[in-house]
Parts: sequence; structure tokens; C-alpha cells
Amino acid sequence: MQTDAQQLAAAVAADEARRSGRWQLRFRIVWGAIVALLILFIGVSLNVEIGFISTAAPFILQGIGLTLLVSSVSIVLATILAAIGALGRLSRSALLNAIASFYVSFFRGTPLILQLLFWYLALPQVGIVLDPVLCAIFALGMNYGAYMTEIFRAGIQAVPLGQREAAAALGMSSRTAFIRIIAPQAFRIIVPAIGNDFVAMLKDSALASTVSLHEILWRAQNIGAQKFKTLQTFMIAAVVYWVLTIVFTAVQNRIERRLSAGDRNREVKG
Amino acid sequence: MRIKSTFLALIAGAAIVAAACGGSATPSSSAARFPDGSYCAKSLALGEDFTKTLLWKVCDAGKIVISTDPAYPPYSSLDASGEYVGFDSDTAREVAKRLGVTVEWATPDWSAITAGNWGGRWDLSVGSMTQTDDRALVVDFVDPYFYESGYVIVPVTSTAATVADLAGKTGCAGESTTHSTWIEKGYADSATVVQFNAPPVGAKLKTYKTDHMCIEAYLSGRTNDWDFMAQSKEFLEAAITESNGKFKILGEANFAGQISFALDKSGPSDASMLAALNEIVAAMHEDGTLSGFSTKNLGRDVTKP
Repeated sequence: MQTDAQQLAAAVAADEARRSGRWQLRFRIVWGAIVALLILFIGVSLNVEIGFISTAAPFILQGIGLTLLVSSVSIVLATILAAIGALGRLSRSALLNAIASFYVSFFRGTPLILQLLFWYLALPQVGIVLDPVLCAIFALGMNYGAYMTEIFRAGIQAVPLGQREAAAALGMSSRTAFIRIIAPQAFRIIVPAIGNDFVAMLKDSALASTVSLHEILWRAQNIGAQKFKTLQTFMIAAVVYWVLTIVFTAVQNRIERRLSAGDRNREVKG
Repeated sequence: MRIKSTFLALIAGAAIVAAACGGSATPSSSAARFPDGSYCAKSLALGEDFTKTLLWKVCDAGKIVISTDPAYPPYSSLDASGEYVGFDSDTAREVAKRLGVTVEWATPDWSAITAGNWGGRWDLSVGSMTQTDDRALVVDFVDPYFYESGYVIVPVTSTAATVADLAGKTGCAGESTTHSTWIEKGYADSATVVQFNAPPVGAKLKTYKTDHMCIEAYLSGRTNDWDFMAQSKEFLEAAITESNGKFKILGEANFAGQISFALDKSGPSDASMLAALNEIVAAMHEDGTLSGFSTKNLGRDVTKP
């Protein structure tokens, strides 16, 4: 009986693997077909000129460094602000809670492009002239920080109350319990959201083109306009952004898999 | 917990304020670091209190921040190596050289330049700006470095023979350009712009963020977007070439403007800078430098009225 059951289990597992293999194959074929159709559509409709694209592409690619710089510094700023903001939102102090909730309300409640123009054009009127790179970092960092504040708060609150009680029962101060018990578990819940926001920020950093930063979109617009061919250069920019997000999504998946090593509920596929 | 979060909030606040304020420059009266005969050397040698003027700010920094939009060849564009080239770019570099400083470029939106209140983001606009009465309210114009006329194109299929035939039609132009103003209200009452043809009676204005979008929208198939477009002859001829002749220029120039550098009225006192730039522009007209740049980049001399 025992061996029969084992054989059955092995057969089921093998079937599962085969089916999974077929599934993977179908999955890839559909992807390939969609991409091929997209390329076909663009090739037919856009009158793509390889000569023009090969001169424009290097110019556009030079913007990747600035896009990555702005996005990564902004996500660090946003993470710091969100950590402080979440502590404020959870604080019993009316002062801290009011400051944190005002921050979230204001920066989530106004368009990102207006915040960017505020840093760029309004602050100089009172004598503070920030470098455009700093303007973009502050605008993106503070805006995303507001969204992430709520994510951080939810992450901290998602850790079951019993954990806190158990820590207290073991004689930990609430401070120690937060650092040793609550924060590490909250961190695991929060990290996927940070990754998501970084990918979103990679694309929102294109707004920095409006404050004269020569990042990917600015370069695509500029070199395209000279020949009245921005559609073709925008296409290059779209591919660049897409590849960047694919790369960083893969990195994010690896990090998540590592963090979920000890968590049987949260296995990540793909 | 409570103490700690207050402390963290204070640190973050202080860091942001410190980053925002930056360092402040210390005045320097030494003219020796500027090339002999340059305006910075001359001005600082006079020993006046320049510390509140734009000229001092520029000389002390050793650089002038000049705004331009490098999407307008042959006036201003970026070449493959990232160098600014064209008539405006050559002129801007030469002006900086005669001042005795280096150029740093800024590339803001055009409407941000013509709106004034630059807040010190850039010191000077060398971007083919036509003098108009409205703009003169917020910027100070240097004497013109060249002259430019406004033309109109229509699709080759258009039956209009003159600008007057376009009555009631829609005209396209870039946001905040002299051409959009001409379509909207014309220059009959202008003290600075000479008008040859009034805009079509009852013409409707359609604007895009840049002039290029007028052309691109049409070429993409939005052929009902506009019936005519107004811009400079160079721009329109480039559009005709790049589109393989989908448009034609209608008639002659409709208005002629004086093209000048602009300084921000709301910035530090610019009287000494204005005087220096007027002298530099006069000298560049005199010694043929501007004519040379014009012939090199545009193939003709546009620097005479």
C-alpha cells in the first residue's frame, strides 16, 4: 500500500510537471504572438525608418543614467519619509498624527506634475533655487512617500496583535518588541510594495522632462521634434522604459522570494 | 517611541531645509581671473558695488546660464555628441566669451521663458525671442540680433490663394509664440512688430506645446486639426522638406519682428548687464560676427532689418 501510494504520488507529480511544462509553452507562445503582432502593427502603421532610429537611439539611451539616478534616490527618500510618516500615523500624539496625515492628504491629493512645477517654478519666487535634479527628486520622493506612508502603516498593522502580546508576555518593552518582532514581519509585507512603487516611479520620472532634465523622454521628444518624427522616437523610449521595468521586476521577484523563504503562505511564482 | 519619532521628524526637516538653502557666494573684486578686455574684467575693475546686479552675479559665478530650446535647427539643436549647435547657440557662446564667462545651458518650456519670473533659474534667454509689447512687461529686451518674419503654410490641397481667404479657418501654432499671437489678434497696434497682413478674419487658434506638434498631428492623419499654420520661414521650409511636400507656403511675410536676447525683469538689477549686452550685440553686428553665424547656419544673412 505504502509503495502504491508513493508511486501514485510520483505519477501525479510527474503529470503535474508535464502539464506545467505544456502550460509554460502555451504561455510563451501567446506572449510571442502578441509581441509579434505589436511589432507588425508598428512596422505597418508607423513607417519606421531604421536609419533615423539608429541615429536617434544612442541619444535617447544616454538618458537612462539620469532616469535611474532620479528614480533610485527618490525611492530612498520616499521610503524614509514613509517610515517616518507611518510612525506618525500610528502615533498617539495628536501633533505627530496631524502632521503625518496632513502630509499624506496634501501630497496624495494634488497632481504630481503640479508638485514638480511647484518645486521648480514657485520656490525660486521666494529665493530658493533648487537644481532641477533635486526638484525632481523632492517631487517624486515626497509624492510617493505619501502613498507609501499608508502602505507602511497597513504593513505594520497587519502584524497580528498576538505577536505584540506574546512579546509583552516574554517581558519585552514595546520598543524592543517593535524592533525585534513587529518591524521584521512588517518589512516582509512592505517590500513588494516598495518594489512596485519603484517600477511605477521609473515611468513617472518621465515628468522630469518638463523641468528641463535630459532624461529618456526629454531626449526622445527633442530629437524627434527636429525631424517631426516624435512618434518613432517615443517608440524607442517606450521600449527602453519597458525593458527597464522588466529588469527591475525580475530583481524584485528575487528579493521577494528570498524574503518569503520562511513563509509557507507566500510562495512567489515566476 | 514618541520622543524618537519627533526626533526623526526634526532631523528630516532640518536636512530638507539645509539642502534647500545651499551655500551663499562671497563677493570677489578680483578682475584678474577674467580675460583682458572682457566685460567682467572691465566691470569689476571699475570697483563699483556690483554685488546686487545680474552682471556681478554672472561674473562672480564665472558662468552664465542661458535658456534655449534645442529642437529648432538651424537655430538651436543638439548634435550627436551632445554639443549645442546653430545660430542661437553660436551667438550665445560668443556673448559669454565676450563677457568673460562660460555658458551653462537650461532647456525649460518656452512658455516658462516668455512668462518671466525666472527666479534665477537662468540668467539670459538667447532663443530667437521676438520683441512684443506683452513680453516687454515681464522681460527686458537687448537690441535685436536678427530679424524674422512670420509666414503661413497650408496643406497643398488647400484652395486658399491669400491669407484673407482663410477667414474663419483654424490656425495652428506653438503655445506662447509670436505666431499664435498673430493668429489670435494680429499686430496692428504693436509698437515693436511690423504687420504686413492682418490675420484671417474670425480665425480660430489651435495651439500645441511646441510648433512641431502641429506638423506631426497633421502627418499622423489628423488632417482636420487645422487649416493653416504660422511660423518662421526656416521652420516651415523644414516641415515641407521633412513631409515630402505635403504643405506650401502661402504668400509672403505677414509680419516682421525684432529678435532679441531677453533678461528677467523680476531678477537682480539688470541695467549694467543690459548695457553690456547692447554693446556686445552692436560690436557683433559691426565686426560681422553675427552675419557670419547667420550665413554659416541659415545659408543667408538675417541680421539686417
